[in-house]
Formats: sequence, C-alpha cells, structure tokens
Amino acid sequence: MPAAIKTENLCKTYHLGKVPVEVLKEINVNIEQGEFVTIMGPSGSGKSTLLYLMGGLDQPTAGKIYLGETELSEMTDKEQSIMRRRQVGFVFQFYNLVPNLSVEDNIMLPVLLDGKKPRHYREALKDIIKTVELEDRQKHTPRELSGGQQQRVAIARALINEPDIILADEPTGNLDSRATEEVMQLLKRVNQEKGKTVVQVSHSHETAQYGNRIIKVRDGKVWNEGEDHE
Amino acid sequence: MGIIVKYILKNIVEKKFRTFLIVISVTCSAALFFASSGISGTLTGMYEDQLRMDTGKADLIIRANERSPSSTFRLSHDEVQGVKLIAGEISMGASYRLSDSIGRAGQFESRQLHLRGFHLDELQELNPVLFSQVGVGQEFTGNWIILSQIFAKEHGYQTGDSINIEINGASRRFSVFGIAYPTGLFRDSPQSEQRTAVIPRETAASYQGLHGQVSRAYVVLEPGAGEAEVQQALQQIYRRYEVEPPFTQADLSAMLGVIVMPLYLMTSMVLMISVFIIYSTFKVITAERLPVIGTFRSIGATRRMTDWVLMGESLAYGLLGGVLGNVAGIGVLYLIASILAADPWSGQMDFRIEFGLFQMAGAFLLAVAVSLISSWIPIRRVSKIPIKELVLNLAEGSSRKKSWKTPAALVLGTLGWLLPRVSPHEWALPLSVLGVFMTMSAVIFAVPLITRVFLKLFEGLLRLLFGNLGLLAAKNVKDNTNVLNNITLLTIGISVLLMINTISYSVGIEVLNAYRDWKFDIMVSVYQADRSVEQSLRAIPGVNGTYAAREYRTPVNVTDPNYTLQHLQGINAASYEEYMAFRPDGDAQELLEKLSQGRYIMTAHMMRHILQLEVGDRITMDLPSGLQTYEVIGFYDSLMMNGSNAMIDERYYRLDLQEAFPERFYVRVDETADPDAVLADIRSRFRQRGVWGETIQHLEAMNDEFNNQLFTILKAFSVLAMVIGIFGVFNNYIISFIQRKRSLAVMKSVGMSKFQSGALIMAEALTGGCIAGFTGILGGIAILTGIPYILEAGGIPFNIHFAINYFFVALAGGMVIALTASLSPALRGSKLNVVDAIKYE
Repeated sequence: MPAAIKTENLCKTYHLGKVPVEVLKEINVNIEQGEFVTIMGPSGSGKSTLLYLMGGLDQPTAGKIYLGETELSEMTDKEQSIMRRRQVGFVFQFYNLVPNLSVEDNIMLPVLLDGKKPRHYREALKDIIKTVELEDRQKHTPRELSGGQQQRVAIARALINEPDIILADEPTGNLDSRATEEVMQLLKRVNQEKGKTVVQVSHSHETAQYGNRIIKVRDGKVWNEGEDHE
Repeated sequence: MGIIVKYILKNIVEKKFRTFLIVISVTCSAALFFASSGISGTLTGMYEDQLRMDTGKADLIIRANERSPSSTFRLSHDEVQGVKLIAGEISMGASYRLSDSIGRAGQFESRQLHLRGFHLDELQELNPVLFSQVGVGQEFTGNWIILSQIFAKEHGYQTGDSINIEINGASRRFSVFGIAYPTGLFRDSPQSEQRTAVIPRETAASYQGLHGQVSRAYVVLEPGAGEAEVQQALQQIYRRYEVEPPFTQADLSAMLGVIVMPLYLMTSMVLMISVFIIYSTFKVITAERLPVIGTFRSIGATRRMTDWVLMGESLAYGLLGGVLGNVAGIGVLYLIASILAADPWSGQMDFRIEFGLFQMAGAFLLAVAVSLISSWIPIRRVSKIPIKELVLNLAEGSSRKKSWKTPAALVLGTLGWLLPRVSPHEWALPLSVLGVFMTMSAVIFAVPLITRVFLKLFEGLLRLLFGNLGLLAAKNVKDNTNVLNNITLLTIGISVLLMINTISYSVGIEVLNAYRDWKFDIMVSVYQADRSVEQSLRAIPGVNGTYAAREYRTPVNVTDPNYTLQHLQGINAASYEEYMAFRPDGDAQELLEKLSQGRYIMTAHMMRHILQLEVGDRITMDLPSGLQTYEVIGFYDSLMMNGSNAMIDERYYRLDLQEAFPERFYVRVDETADPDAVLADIRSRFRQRGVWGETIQHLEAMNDEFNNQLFTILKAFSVLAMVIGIFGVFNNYIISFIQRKRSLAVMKSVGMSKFQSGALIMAEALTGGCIAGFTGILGGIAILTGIPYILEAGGIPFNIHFAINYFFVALAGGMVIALTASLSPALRGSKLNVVDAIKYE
C-alpha cells in the first residue's frame, strides 16, 4: 500500500525582499495511511510550510510531494482544488471560518464547491454536527461561537467530504486547556474510529501525546524521520 | 502636534485611490455648489447684457400696446424732470435682393433687413454704434445707411458704396454711411436670416408716411432720478401707450428660476452621493486604524486626541476638496454659462462668469462641512470602543446588523409619499422637496431588505445560473456591507440618471404634445388685424384656412377668488376644435355650445386645482369693461402658460375686454404647400403692417433646442453624480476584496479553484448590480412621482412619462458597472496566495 503522504527532497525558498530564505531543505518524509503524526519544531523551523506544501496550498521550490500515488506538481489548479475538496481536510490555528456563513454553511463549503447537491448531504451533515457536538449551534455564525466551538466547526468542515487526510496547523494554538482537550480528543477519534490520516503541526508536547509519531523539524530539516513516538 | 500632522499626511499619501475618491467627491460637491450659487449672478449679467444689446442704456420704453389708438405716436415736447434723453425710433422691414449664388437652393431670393430709424446723435448716447469704417464730414440725414460688419462682409460693401434696398415693394438707393461692429443693435442672431441696418429716423418715417412719429421711444434717466416718478409722469403724457422698463427683475428671476432650481436639485443629489462615499470610506478608515488608535490610547492619548487624529484627516480632505472645488467650480460655471449663452431665441450671447467671495467661501465651507459631517459618525463610533477591546483587537468595527433600517424605510417612505400629496398649497414646495428626499432615503434604507427579498425570490435562478456558487454569492451579497454599500451607491447614481433622463424625455413628450395640440402650421400676428386681414390671409396661395385667435396675454386680475390669470382666450365655438386640440372633462361640443350662450368660463385643470374650483362656481375678473362675473361650466386639460389659462366665448371677450381685433391668426396650409414659403409670402404681403409670423415647426425646433441646452447641463450633472458613484463602487469592490482575502483563501483551502474564485466574485457583482439596477429604478420612480408635485407647487404643471427602455438600460447599466468594477478583484482573487492570506492577513 502506498504512503498517504510522501515527500522527496522537498525544498522551499522564500524571498524576503531580495534575500532568499531557505525554509525547507531536502525534506523526505513518509506518512502511512491511518497515522496520527505531529510535526514539531521551534518557530520559523518550517513546520507549517511543510504542512501547507503537503496540502497543495503552496508550491515547492524543488522536490516532489505524493498524496497516495499522485504527484502534486503534476496536477492542474483544478485537479489540486478537487483534491483539497475530496482527499484533504484542513484545520487552521485561527479556525478560518467564513464569518458571514452559518455553522452549517461553513461545514458544507467543500460540498458546495464540489458542485454536489446539499440535500444529498443532509444526513452526513447531521451526523458530523452531532460528532462535533454543535447540534444547538448550527444556525449561528462564527462570531457567535467560542474558540473551541469554532475549531470544532473547522474540523467538521474538514470531515464533511470524508477525506483520507486531515492536515491541522496548530489546531489548539488559540484555545484554552479545556477546549484543547475537546479538540484533540475529537481529532484522535477521527483518526482511530474513522481511520483518517491526521497530520498536525504543534508546539505542544501535550497535544503531540494524542498522536502516534512526531516529526521534528529544525532549520528546515527533519532530524528524526522514522523515529516512533510510542 | 507635528507628529499627528505627519501621521495624517502619511495616511493621506499612502492610500492614493481612497484619497482620490474622497477628494473627488468633496471637490465635485463644492464645484457644483459653487456653480449653482454663481450661475444666478452670471446669467443675470448675461441676460441683462443681451437685453441691453437692443435697448442700450434705456431705463424706460414707450410703445403701443393692444389698447393704443395707433402703432405709432408723436414725441411730446413737454419737459419731464429726471429725463436725460428720449430717443425715438421707427423700424420697418425691408429686403436686399441676393445674387443667385447666395440664395439657398433658390428658396430665398432676398435677405430680410430690419431697418431701424434713429437720430444718430441720440443713438450714440443710447446705444453707441462702434464703427469699423465711417465716412467723415457727412451728416446722417437723407439716404444714408449704416450696415453691420457681417452684412458688409457677406455682400462686399465699403463706406460710400451704394446699395439698393426694397422698401414697401419699391427699390430705394442708399449710400453706406459706415460699417458697424456686430455689437449693440447690430448684434444679429447667427441663426437669423435677418440683418439689422440703421437709417435716419426721418427717412424711415417718410417711407412709412409717418412724419414726426415714432414707433418706440427709449428713455434714459438723469443719474439719481426716480424711475417710478418719471414713469408716472411719462404715463400721464403718453396715456394710452405703455411706459415700462425694458425688463424687470421679476422677468429675470422667472428666466433664471427654470435653470437655477434644477441645478440646486442636482447639486443636492451629488452631495448625497458624496456624503455616502465619505461616510462609508471613513468606516473602512476607522476600522483599519483600530490597532493604531489602540496603541495611541494605550500610551496615554485621550479619546478626544484620537478623534482629532481622524477628524484632522477628514479636515485635510475637506480643505483640499474646498480649494479644488473652487477651481473646478469656476470651470463648471464657465461651461454652464457657455452652453446657455448659445440661446436659440436670441443668438449667441456674450458672457462673463460672475462670482464673489460668497460663492468661494460657501463652496469652501460646504467642502469642509461635507467631509467633517460625513466622517463624524464613524469616528464617534470608534471613539466609544473601550481601550481594552482596541488593544486586544476585540472590536468588531461596524458589523452590527442595522435592524432600524427597515422600520426607518417604512416610516420615511410613507411620510415621503404623503407629504407632497397632503401639504397645504402655501407649504407645498418645501414639503414636496422634503417628501422626495424622504422617499429617496427610504429606498436607500430599504436596500438591505430589498436585497434579502430579491435573493429569496431569485435564489433558484442564481443556482441555475451559477450552481452552488450562486448560493454562496447570494449569501455574501446579503451579508457583505461593502456589497450593500455598492448597491446603495449605484442606487443613488442610477436613480439620479433615470430621473434626469425621464424628465428630459417627459419634457420632450410634453413639448411634442403641446405642439401637436396646434392643428395648424403658421402663427401670424398683424397690427390691428381687421376682417380684411383675415380675408387677405385666406387668399394667399397655399393657405387652407385661418382662425382668428383672441388671446389676452396681459395678466388678468381675478378679484374673486384672488388670482392672476396669465392667459384668457375668447374662442369661436364653431371652429376652435379645428385648430386646437380640446380635452375637456365631459362632452366637448356640449360644453363649447354652452360657453357661447352667456358669461360662462372654462379653466385649465391647474387653475381649477389652485383655486379649488367646481362647476357652478363664479369668477369675477377685473376686465377693461369693469368687473365681470363668469360662471364656471367645466375644465379642460391644458398646460399653456403653465396651466394658468381659461376660455370664454369670443362675443363676451370682445365685449368685456374691449378688443376689436384678434391677437393673432392660426393659419393652416394645404398639404402640398410649404409652410416656410407661405410664411415668406405672408411676411412680404403684410410687411407694412407690423407682421410677425413663425411656422410651428420652427417654434418647436427652437423650443427643443432651448430644452436640450438645459438638459445637457443637467445630464452632465447626473453623469457626474454617476461617475463619483462608480468611483465609489470600484473602491468598495477593492476594499471588499481586501477584507475578504482571508475568506477567499479559506474557500481555496477547502477546494475552490481559480476559476470558481473569479466566478464567485463575478456572480456576486452580477447579482449586486442587478439589485442595484432594480433599486435604482425604484429610487428613480420614487423621485419622479414626487417631481410633478414640486413643479406644481412652483406653478408648473408637468406630467411624467416613463420610458420603459430606460428601465432596462438602468438594469443593464447596474450590472455592467458592477461587473466591470469586479474584474480586478476577480483577477486578484484567482491569483490569491492562500498561505499569505491565511497566515499573515
């Protein structure tokens, strides 16, 4: 079985003015299907950049990224967009919900963008809202929700299209300890019960405990690839 | 203080498009105010100059009127204190035979000349002739003639040359005394085929057989002499003649009112757009500055200080707009004056723009006030945010839902609709204007509600057109403040454009209808036209029929109820309908028959409305025969003399108004005859009897030209309003894109493609534009239904005619503008860097 996500000699260079900044240097990682991996590292180490590259939100300077057997750079914008709708679900630190849409509409965004009929997803929506325990909040807009609730909406949105991979960028970075616990439990359940591959970026060893492997990134390089957490 | 000024200037310079938008809005408002307030003085000067061209320094003019025993009179030798000069004139028509090459397609064989007989010394004192050439040592008596430079150039005459002129059918030889520059009396209209020439008064009198008589006398007063006293003294001498100033301030005011009032109306519309743009832009500015304001406050700045930072920025825009507004205002004033100077009735007028400190200071203060007042509410709102929320970035700006807007729209709409309809006559004008503004405000407040209803109704269509993107677009249009602002801006712009174009169209229709009411081809008046004149007219080849129109154009004093009737007709019931359209309430024949049976009167609807008349009421008029009471037997539809007109039977007209002769004749020509040729024939046959005549076609064309001039200006104003609105819309789309970058990036992160991103923005624009077109039409209708009440209150009856194609243009215009404005955001949206937008916004 191919790896869920695989990178080969992945490099990313940004330009700060005219100065090139090498953020990722020849990264090679292999994430198997059903894994719950935490990418850790100090600020500016390139961990979020690695996550965004894996999800096709950014383009590498060199190297390859495979999602299953598909190499991302060979995909057109449309194919990458379809991939993000169906194969990958994103969760961000600041939730990134669309403020003028209700909880329901935010969750249904990937479905709507995929051109599917919302009525076919009524049951799935109901289930997922129940899973994230927001039954009494579905008509509310994001600004009427707490941080933890907003992040649960973001997770529900990431799950609605039943993708194989969930990519989470510091999903608890903006939450208090109680909300952190709720969100991490939810991600763990998604990983264990639904068999989704979860890759999260985190500073916190505490949240890393919920996963089964840690990839440490420092100065744009992975320095413990292959080392199991447990 | 220095750092605050530096901060303000930096903000202004950094956001160039925003600065441009605010400054252009303020500038336009100030410039239009400047022009509107300055146009009155400029036009007064222009019209006075124009009127003075003919009458020179005359303070009073003595001439014959309908009640005078003759069209000429002898100048009295009685001394009147205060009179410096009485210059008599005898004028007559003449013609100059043209060579074949000059005649237009053989239509004109001769050029009409207006010969004016003066004593040259008197004329030089009254209305100086500026000679480009003049013979020396000659006395201006006998067969000398002064030609205009234009005529002399056209036909190659020099001083001393001989010229043959046809007067009363006989050829007369004159010698050219001098050539005059085209000023004063010699300022002929370029459109006119007629040219003026001056000959000695005695010579003119001898050709007319009027030795010692004049047809007009121009009176110049001694400096400091009382006009009223001299007028009274002269009236005693010339008892049965008219002694009046050449024009009165009331005449000028009436001429100016038609132009100045619509300009102020348009200025207020532009002002409305400017206020809205500045208000909405300052909402964005204050939202953007929240972190900086928080920083200022956290290091000890008071609320007042941070308010002043923002007010300072607003003041800077106002000051800049005020200065530019004055400069632009001079340009706009010049432009308006130059357009109006090409007067179809009297030819090209000389003009100089007139403005003073009042206009400049007024425009400047308006600019500052517009900027400060429009920005005050957003600034105050920010001022009230607690410091903690500012520092922690918890303040949400102005995203609250405005639940008061719908009730406000309902209340304003109802009041605005009711006010013009129920206000008492004496308050009708201000209340009708207020009502129109209230209705327009109601439409603006109702924009969110209309948007919601529209989206509810057309959600299915949007989905059909754009799929699920249509659904997302609908949700965004409904909730996005910037999109709603765009709809509002377009609503105002489209409403104003629709209003001006519909009024222009309506005026065109009304003018057309008015001229279509005249079922004849030529209007002719001949001094003291007895039966023989009418018979002679009928005998002219091509004339198919004539109607002797008895029209009393001197205002009639109605004593009970109190009213001034502008136009009273004495009609011939048997043939009236053959020459004039007659639309009474009831059976026309029956009413006309009854009218001829006694002292009965019918009035136009406008007069009925003002006097609250009913059938059976009695009207007492102060007529030349004394007070006469007429019974009202009906009403009819007519806008002649702005609806201040009434008709009685011609028998009682002759009796009570003591008018022996008809005022004019309506002449119908054969279908195969050319009205111009028939008119030329009439002029030629009656040239010795003070004939005046015009074809209806020519009158209509001149009226059209005058209306077109006025509407060119008004349309330019409304286009300007629209242009400012469009700038605002472009700005709002860019602001909206900047504010939604993160949302768009989020959508991209969950699978929105580049194409979908562009399509979403375009779908929103199309929907917003369509709603704006619809609300613009609604706003336009709201204003237009109130306009007749405003005009009616000003004594001008007016019917609005809606042109359905304008509605489609408005709808399409709204969509095109919105789509065009959204092109750049759509392009930028499709190229959006998701990571940058999500991580660093």
